[in-house]
Amino acid sequence: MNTKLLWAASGGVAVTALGAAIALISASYPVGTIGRMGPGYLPLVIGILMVVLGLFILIGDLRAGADEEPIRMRPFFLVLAGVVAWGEIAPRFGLVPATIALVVIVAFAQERPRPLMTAVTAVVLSFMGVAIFIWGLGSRLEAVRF
Amino acid sequence: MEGGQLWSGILTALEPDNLLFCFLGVTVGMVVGVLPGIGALAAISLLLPITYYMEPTAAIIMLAGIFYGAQYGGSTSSILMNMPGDASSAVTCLDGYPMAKQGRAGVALFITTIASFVGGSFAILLLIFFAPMIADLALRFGAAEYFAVMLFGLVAGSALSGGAFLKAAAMVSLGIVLGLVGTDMQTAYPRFLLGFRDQLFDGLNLVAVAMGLFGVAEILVNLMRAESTPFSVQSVKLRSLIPSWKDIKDSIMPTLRGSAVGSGAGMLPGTGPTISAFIAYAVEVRSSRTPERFGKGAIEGVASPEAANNASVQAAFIPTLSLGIPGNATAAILLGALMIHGIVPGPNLITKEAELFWGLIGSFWIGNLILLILNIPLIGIWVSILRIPYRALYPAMLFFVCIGVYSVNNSMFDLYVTLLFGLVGAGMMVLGFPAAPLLLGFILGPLIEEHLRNALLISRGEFGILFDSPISIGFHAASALLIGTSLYGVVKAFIHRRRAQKIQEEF
Repeated sequence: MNTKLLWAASGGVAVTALGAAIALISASYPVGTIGRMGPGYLPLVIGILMVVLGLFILIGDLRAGADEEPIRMRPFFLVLAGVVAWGEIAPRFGLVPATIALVVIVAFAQERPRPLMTAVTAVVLSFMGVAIFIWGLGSRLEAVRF
Repeated sequence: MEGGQLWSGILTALEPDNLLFCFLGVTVGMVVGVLPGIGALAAISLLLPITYYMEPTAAIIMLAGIFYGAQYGGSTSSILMNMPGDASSAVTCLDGYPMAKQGRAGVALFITTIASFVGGSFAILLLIFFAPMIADLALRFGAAEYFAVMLFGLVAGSALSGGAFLKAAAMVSLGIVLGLVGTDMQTAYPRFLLGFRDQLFDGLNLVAVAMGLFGVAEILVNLMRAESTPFSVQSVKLRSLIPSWKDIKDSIMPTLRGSAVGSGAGMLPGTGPTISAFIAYAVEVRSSRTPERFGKGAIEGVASPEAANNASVQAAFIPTLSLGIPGNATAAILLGALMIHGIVPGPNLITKEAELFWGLIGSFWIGNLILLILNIPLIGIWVSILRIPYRALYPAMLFFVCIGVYSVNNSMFDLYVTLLFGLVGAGMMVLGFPAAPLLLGFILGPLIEEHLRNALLISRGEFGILFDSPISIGFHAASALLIGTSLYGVVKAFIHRRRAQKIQEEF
């Protein structure tokens, strides 16, 4: 029950908090006047609007309650890890190792990864990446770098 | 009228390069339209980086092709699997899937293709006729008028997003602020850099934001929901496509009504194909003498919404190209693509970039013809594409996200922005916050601020200038009406729910 309530509240709370943060930050910028708006004017107004909207969303969502949907966290972390791996490996060691790492890591997002399919995907995507982006479009990345 | 220009536009579209990219665009659109789980928005964001290397005309022809191609494809999975391939085809499930269960899948596919073609063509005619006219009118727009139209676009984008109004409004607001990140154009004051001075002074990268919200977020949510079972798809024989005379007769009026509804809704800034299809379906049920047939395989129920979503997509180009105000979130990305190529959207576009404008329109005709051919004789291919499991697709999509975002600026920072927006977008989807309004706000935010500032600068802070012309008053009135009815809906739902709860407690 408590986690469900927390879940339902999270959207409204997030909007309120973001709005407050935006309003606070913009208040530190020159706000100016209506006739001569400074950089802080519009974001300040919008931040306040978001706080109000967030509170109403919070009330509405709490009243409606969230539907409980089974959510698997494993794919979440694996996709995260896969993209970070690609981003860290590609500029250092090249496109091919980065792509292989990405494909292998995200394959584990499935309950039962299939090695053959993953291998084929890694090879095909590596080739496509090199062909389209390095040979075709002249990307600054290298295929393999030591 | 503009016959000569239209003809030269068709010739432009027939140039080998443009023709190739038009074909590529509509085919990709068709594929992502057919496949549930990848929408047109995601596909356009994925291909956006590639267009950096292309001629602007070819680039926009291809991206637009994805957009309307997806509308053709979306109905295929709605009919065959009761699973919309694209959000805009969701309502086609209602009668399309029952038709398939009755063994009339072929007829439904045929009629939706023709309806799509008619809807698209109808809206293209309106586009040819109205866009130059509106652009002419808009040349006399001042800052106040622009502000009014854009504000209406944002209001319509949240009121008609199909989701909860307050949540959509919150997302538009957040989008505006995200659009303001970077150096303020008028005062050179840096805003919301959060310590990333070097990376953010030019603002957040559109490609990174769009790919995160629509590419990564969709993949995440699809994977995080329970493991999907493979679909069983019935095969469709060419012969079964042929409709009876009665089917044709029954679909003529709904197709025309759908085209009109879709064009009208699509023309308004902020409203997209999904909402157009829903309105068209509602109109059809209301105007039918036998409304009880709907939901059980009525052919009107597939013809009208499919005509409407195609008409809407094409009509969305009217405000996009004549005013520089996107008709919906997808059109917003197309505008972003134009700006990346240094083309300033606005009323001058049609005269200044005549070749691009008429070439694009020419490509619409050609693209729709290609789609007609792709759809009817080649239906078997699309049915077999439906058998591709998602597990084979998502690694490839993630790969294209990574390399696509990176290639724009050779920047890993952009890739992490994408990842962040992917996480945010996934959270938004789960909690029922629509992402399209956020993107609309993101694109329109800086423009709306500029026009508001200029208008009030001219009037020295006098608010009256915002209501100085009939155009401004008209748009503000329309915005007020939309906000009013939406808030009324929110309050009514609130009271209704409370009463329902009370009744539940009493029993």
